[in-house]
Amino acid sequence: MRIDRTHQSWAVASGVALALAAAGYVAATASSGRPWSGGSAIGLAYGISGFAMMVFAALLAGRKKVPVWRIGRAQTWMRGHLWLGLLSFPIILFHAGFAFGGSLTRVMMWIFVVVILSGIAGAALQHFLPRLMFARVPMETIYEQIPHVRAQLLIEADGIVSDACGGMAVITDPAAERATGGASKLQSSVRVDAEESAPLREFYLAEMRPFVAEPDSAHPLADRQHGDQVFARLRTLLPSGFHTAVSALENICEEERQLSRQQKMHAWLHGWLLTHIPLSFALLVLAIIHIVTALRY
Amino acid sequence: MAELIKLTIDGREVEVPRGTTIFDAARLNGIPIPTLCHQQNQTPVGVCRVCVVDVGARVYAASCIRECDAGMTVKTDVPGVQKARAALVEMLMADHPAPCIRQQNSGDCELETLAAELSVPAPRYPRRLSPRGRDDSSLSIAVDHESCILCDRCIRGCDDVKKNLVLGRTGKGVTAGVAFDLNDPMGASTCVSCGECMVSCPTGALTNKRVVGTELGGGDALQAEELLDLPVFDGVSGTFLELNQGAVVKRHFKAGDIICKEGEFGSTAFYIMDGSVDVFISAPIKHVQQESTSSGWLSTIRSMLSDRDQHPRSEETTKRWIPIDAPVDLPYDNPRARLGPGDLFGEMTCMSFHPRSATVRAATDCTALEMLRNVLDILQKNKTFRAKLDDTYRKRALENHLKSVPVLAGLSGEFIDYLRNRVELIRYAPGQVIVRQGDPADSFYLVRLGFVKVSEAHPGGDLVLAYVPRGGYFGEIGLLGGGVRVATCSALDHVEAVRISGEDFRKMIEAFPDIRAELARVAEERLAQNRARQKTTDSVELNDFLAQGLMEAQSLLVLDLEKCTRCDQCVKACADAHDGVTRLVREGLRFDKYLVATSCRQCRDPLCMVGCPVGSIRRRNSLEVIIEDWCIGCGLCASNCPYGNISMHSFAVETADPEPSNRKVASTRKKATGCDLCTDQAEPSCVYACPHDAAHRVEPLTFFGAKFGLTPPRSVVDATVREERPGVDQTSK
Amino acid sequence: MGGRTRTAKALAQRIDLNYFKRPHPFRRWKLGLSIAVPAAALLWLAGIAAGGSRAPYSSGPASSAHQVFGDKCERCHVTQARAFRAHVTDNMCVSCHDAPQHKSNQTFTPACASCHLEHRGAIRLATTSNRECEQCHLDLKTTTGRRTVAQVVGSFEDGHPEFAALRPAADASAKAVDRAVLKFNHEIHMKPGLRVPAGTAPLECSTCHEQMLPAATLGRTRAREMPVPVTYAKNCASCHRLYFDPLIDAVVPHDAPEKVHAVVVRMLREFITANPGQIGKPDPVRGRIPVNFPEPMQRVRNAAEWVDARTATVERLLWSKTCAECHTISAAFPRVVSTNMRSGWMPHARFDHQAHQMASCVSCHAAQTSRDTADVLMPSIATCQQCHKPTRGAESRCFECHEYHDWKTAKPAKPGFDLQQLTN
Repeated sequence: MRIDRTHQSWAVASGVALALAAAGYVAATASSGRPWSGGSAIGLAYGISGFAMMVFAALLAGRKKVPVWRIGRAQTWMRGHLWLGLLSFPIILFHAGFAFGGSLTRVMMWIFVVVILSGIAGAALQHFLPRLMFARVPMETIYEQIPHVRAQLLIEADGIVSDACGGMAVITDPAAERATGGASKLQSSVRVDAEESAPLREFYLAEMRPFVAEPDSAHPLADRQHGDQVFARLRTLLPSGFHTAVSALENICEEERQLSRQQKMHAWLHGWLLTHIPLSFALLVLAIIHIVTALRY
Repeated sequence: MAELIKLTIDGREVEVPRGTTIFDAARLNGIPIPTLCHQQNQTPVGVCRVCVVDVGARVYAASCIRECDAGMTVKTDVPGVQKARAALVEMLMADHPAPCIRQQNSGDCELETLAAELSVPAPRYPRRLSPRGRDDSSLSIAVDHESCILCDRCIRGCDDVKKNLVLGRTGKGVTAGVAFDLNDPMGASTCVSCGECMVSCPTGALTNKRVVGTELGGGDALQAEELLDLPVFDGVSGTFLELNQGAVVKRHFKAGDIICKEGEFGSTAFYIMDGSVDVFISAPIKHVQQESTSSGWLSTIRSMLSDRDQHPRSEETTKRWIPIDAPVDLPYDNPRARLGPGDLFGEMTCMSFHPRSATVRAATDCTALEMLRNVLDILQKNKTFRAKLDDTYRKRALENHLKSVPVLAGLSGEFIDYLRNRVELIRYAPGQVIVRQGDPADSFYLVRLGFVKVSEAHPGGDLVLAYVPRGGYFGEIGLLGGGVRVATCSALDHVEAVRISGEDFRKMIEAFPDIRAELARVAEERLAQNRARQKTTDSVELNDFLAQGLMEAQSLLVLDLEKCTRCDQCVKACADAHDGVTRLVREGLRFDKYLVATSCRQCRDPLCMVGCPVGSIRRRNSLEVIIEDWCIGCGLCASNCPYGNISMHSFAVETADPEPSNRKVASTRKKATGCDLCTDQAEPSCVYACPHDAAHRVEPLTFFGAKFGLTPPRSVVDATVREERPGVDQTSK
Repeated sequence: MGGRTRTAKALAQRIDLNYFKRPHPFRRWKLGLSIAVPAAALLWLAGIAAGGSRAPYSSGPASSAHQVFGDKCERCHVTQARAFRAHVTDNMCVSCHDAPQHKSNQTFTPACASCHLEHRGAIRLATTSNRECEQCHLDLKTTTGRRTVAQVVGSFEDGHPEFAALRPAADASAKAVDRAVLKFNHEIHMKPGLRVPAGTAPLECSTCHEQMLPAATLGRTRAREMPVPVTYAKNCASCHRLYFDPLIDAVVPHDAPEKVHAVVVRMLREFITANPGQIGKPDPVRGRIPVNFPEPMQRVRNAAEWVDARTATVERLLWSKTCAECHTISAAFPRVVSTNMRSGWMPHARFDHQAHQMASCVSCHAAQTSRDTADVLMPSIATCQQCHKPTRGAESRCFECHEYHDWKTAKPAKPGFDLQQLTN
C-alpha cells in the first residue's frame, strides 16, 4: 500500500498512541520502586493492548478470506494493519520492559523482530515496486496466468510464422525425442516462396521458438539489445511483405521478456509474505501459549 | 368503377377499364406478350422493349407501359413485331454468357428461354470486350454482372417492393450496371439479403448461392409444385420456391423427438402442419450461487445454481413471463407451453440468426415444415399466411403477450377482447424507423419479435438510449406526455410490433388508472435515464481514450497500477460476492496509470443487449446490466460485448429430464455473467475489498476529465447514481 | 506494433476464468509455511515438554539463590489439585525459609512472591521495592489500633520521621536526651593535645569506639551495625587507673562495690602484715581530708584496727571521688547506679558503620562539641539524607535499613530436600 498523505491521520494517531504509551511506561517505571513486570497491572495492560494489535494485524488475513463481508473497507483494515502492527512492537517492548525474558519469550521476541522487519520491508517493496512494474512491464498480465498466456503466445507465434511462410508443421519424432531428451524437432513444409521466407522460418525454428516455448534468461533473445539486432537483421534479409510478421514476432519476444520481468518483480512484491505470514502465525500461536503459561506460572 | 373502353387485340374485341396497359389487357384475355423487364408486382418501366406491339402508330409501342385507348387496334404477333423482338433479344444475347448460371442450374433463364422461343440464332454481334465482373461478397446471393440485362427488376424489387433502397443504377453507356449502395460489394453493403432482387432477376445475374439455402438434410424435400399445393404457400412465387429448392423441408417427428434445443445457433423456422409440440426451457431458471462447503478447514468454493425463490436477488424483475421466439411466452415458474397446427416458431432465429430461445419437443407425432429465412420471408409476405398468423396471434398470444408486460398485467379480459381485433401487427425490416423523434405520437407499441433501438438525435450523431427487446414496449412517453415523440425508435433487426392506437391507449389508461400510474412512473424513469445517458458532444482529441471506448463507458473499474500490488483481492472479492464466479478479470488495457479492468462498463450503447433470444439481459433502472435467471447460455451477449466483459461460465448441473423418464441427468450448463456493480451493496465488492486503495469504480469523464481538462457533462454528474457514494469516486489526490 | 493489436477483449479472453480457484505454487507455499512454521514452533515446545521441562515458559533467569534448581520448575511451581494455576504459594517458600511475619498486628500478610519478585535475573530476592512497604505504611492501620511507628511513611525522603532516638518523647521543645548514667565529656577527650599516660597513643574516636574488621564480622550482620561496646577495661583503664591508697601501688578492680571492698580489705591486711611499723603513723590521706571529717580521730592500736580505719578512709575516698568520677553512687552503702548505656539507637532499623567507614566519624557525630553525657550524638535523618536520596545515588529504599521479617520469632525450618534432589 502506498504510504501517502491519506495516511496522515493514522500516522498521527499512532504517534500519539506511542507517545502516550511511552510516557505511561516511563511514569510507571519511575514511580514504582518495583522492578518492571509484564505481569503487573500496567504491564498486563501493555501486553493486552499489544496482543490485541497483533491479533488485529493478523486478522487481516482472515479479512481477506471474506472480502465481501461489510466489516469495514479492506483498505481501512490495511491501514490498521500497517500502523497498529508497527505500533504493537514498541507496546510489546514496554510490556516486556525491554527484556527478552525466558527462552519462549526470547524466541517470540526474535520472531517479532523478524516479522516487523519483514513487514516494513514488504511495505517498502509494495510502495515502490508497483510503480516500477507499471513503468517496466507495460504488457503485464495476471501473474498466475503467465504460463497460460505464454502457451497462447507460442500458438500465436506459430500462427504468425506459418501464415507468413505458408505452413509449418511441428513433427514430433518419438525416436528423436528420446535422443535429444524431449526437444521436439520441427520441420517446415515446403512452399513456393520458401526461398524468400527461409530466413524467417529458420530464425523462428532455431532461435525464437525455443525461447517462446521455454523462456530462459540465458537465451540470447532474453536480452533486449540482442533481440533488436536480430530483428533488424531479419528485416534486411526479408522482403517488406514479411515485415508485419517480423514486427509481430518481435512484439511477442518483447512480451515474453516482460512476462519474465513481471515474474521476477512479482516474486519480490510478494515473496516477503512467505516470511511475514508464517512467522506472524507462529508468533500468534506462541503468544497464546505465552498467555496461558504466564497465567499459569 | 372506371370507365370501360373497347379495343381490338390480335383481332379480338376486348373491353378493359380505362388506364389498363396493353400488356395487362392482353394478358387478361389470354394473349401472351413476351417481356423481360416487366413483372406483375412491380411498376412497369419499359426498358427492355421486348413487349413491343404494333398499335398502328409510327413506332411500335412498349405494351407494358402503353395504356389502352378506345378503339385501338393492337397486333402482338405480326412479323414486324416478331422481327423487332428477335433483334432485341439477339442483341441482349450477344452480351449474355449463354448458358448463364441460372440456365445451368434450373434452366429457367428468362432471356435464354425467350431466345429459344423466338428461335433467335447465335448472335451475329461480337461480345463486349471489357468484362463487367462478378461479385461474390454476399453469402447468399451471387452477383454476375455479365448476365445482367439492366432490366431494373432487381432495383424495383429492392426499392419499391422491399423498400430496402440498397440497389440502384450506376454508370453510363457501356459501364452502366446495378450497384449496391454506393457501388459497394454486396456483402459490405447495407443489403439485408432478403432475396427479393434475386427473385426478381430474369437471368443469372443474381442467383441463389445456396449458402443460406443449403439443402436442409433429411425430411421430405419438397418440390416447388408440392409447396404451392400447400395452403400456406398459396400465392407464393414458384420461381422463388424453385430457386430455393431444399430450403424448406417437411419433417415428421415422433412424439418425444427434440425439434430444436435452446442455445443452439440455427437458421430455420418451423411451421407446424399437424400435431403439437411442447416448448420449454430446460436450462435451470437459476443463477449462480456459492455453496458453502466447508469440509475440513480448507474450504473449497463451489458454485451452484439457485433460483429466485431460494435466493432472491433484489435487483431482479418479478417478471412472470419469459419471452421466447414463438407466438407464446413461457411462464416463469413452469417454463413450458404447447403449440399446435398453424403455429410458426423460430422466426427470430431464422431471420436474425439469434440462438434458439427454447427447446421444442414433439408432444404428439407431428409434421412441420422447416424453412430457411428466404422461404420464411416469402411466407410472411404472403397475405394469406400473414392473415392467418395475425389471426392466431390475436386469438392465442395477444392476451398472453399483453399480460407478460408487467405494467399491463392488470388489464381485464374484456378489455383484451376489445383490443383483440383493434391492434395491428406490423413488421419492420432492419433499420426501418418505427417512430421518429419530433413526430406526433399516435400509437403505443409492444415488441413481439426482434429488437427496437431507441435513440436520440444529437448534433454529434445518434445517442442510443436503449434496446427494447421482445416483450418490451415503447411509445408511451409521447402519448402520456406532450404528444410528440421524444426519441426515434427503429428496428434493429426483423421486428414485429403490436401497434395499439392512441385512441385505444387512452381508453386503456382511463379504464385502468393503476396502469396509467405505473406507465407514468416507468416513463419518468426512462426519461430520467435518458437524461443521465446524454453524453457530452465535446469531441476530445484523445486517441487512446476513444480507441479504448472509454468515452462510451458510464462506469469503469480502474486499478491504480502505482498502488496495486497485484494481490488479486478484487477478483477474489468479486468471486465471493458472486458465488464463486468472478465477473472481473484483472487484465485489460492500460489507460494513463490505470488498468481498465475487464468488468462491465455499463456502456451508453449496450451492444450486449442486442439479440438476446430470451431477453434475459437488460439494463436496470440505474446503470447496471443484469442477466436474469432464465439465461439459456447461448453466449450471444458475450460475443457481442466488444470488451470481453461478459463471460460464460460452465456449471455442472443435475437436470431432471422432464420426459419421458424423468431421470436426473448430469450435464454442463452455461450462464452468462457480468458485473452487476454489487447493487445490493453500498459499494462494489472489488473496490471495497481492495486493501491498497487501488481499485475505483469511476465515471470516466469525471474521473479522467480533470486530467485532460475536460468539463464533465453536467447531466452525467448530476444523474450518475454512484456519484453520491462516499469514497467511491475519489479521484487520485 | 505491427500486426499485433491488443484489445481488451482479446486480453481478457486469454485468461482462464477459474484461475484464482486453483492452487498456485506461491499460494501453496504460503499456506504450507503458514502451517509448518507455527507447527514447528509448537513441536519445539512439545519436544521440550516431552522431556519434562517447562523451562521455556520461564519469564526470566531465576535469582542467584534459586538457580540451584535449574529448570526444575516444579520444585516451586506446584499445581494445586484441580486448579489451573501453578503459582508459587507461600507454603513452597516456607518449606525452606521460615520467614516470620512482620508484626502480629498487621492487617494483612502479602504473599512472599508479591515482594520477592522471582525470575528477574541474578539478583537478591531480599531487595524489595518501597511499594511493598507502602502498602501499609502509607497509611498504617493495625488490627489492635495501636501503632509504634509513624502512620504515614512514604519513603526515606517522604514522610520518614526523625530517628526515634532523636525524637523527643512527649515534649516537642525538649531536646532528645541520652539517659545513660555515666559522666563522660567527649569534648575533653577529643581535645587536641590531650595529655595521656606515657606509652599510650593519642586519643582518636577509634581508641574507644573500636571498629570490627571485616574478617571478624563476616556474615554477622548485627555486628556490622554498631562499634564494639566501650568497656572500662578496654577503653578507660589505660588512663583512668583505680588507685585507692598512696601506700599501695595497686588498683582495685572495676567491679561491684562489695568486691572492691573485699579487695581493699585484703590488700590493706597484706600491707600491714608486711609493714607493721605503719601502725600509728599519721595518715597522709586523712591529712588531705577536710577538717570537717565526720568521724572522730581514733587511736590505732593494732593491725586490725589499722586496717579498719584505713579501709574506711580509703573507701570513702574511692567511692566519693574515684568511682564518682564517672558513675553515680548512691548515698548509703556504696552502690553504683547502673550506667544504662544503650547499645543500639535505632529500634526498627539497622545501620552498618562498616559500610560508612569511608566517612570520618565526626562528619556525622557532633562529638567534639559534646560535653554532656545527655547529648545524643546520633546524627539526624537529615545527615543521612545528604547522601541517601534518589538524586544522589545512595540507596534509600526501605530494605536498606529495615527488615520486614521479625526474625526474633523465627523458627528453624524443617529440611525439605536432600542434596540429591537439589542438585539433580
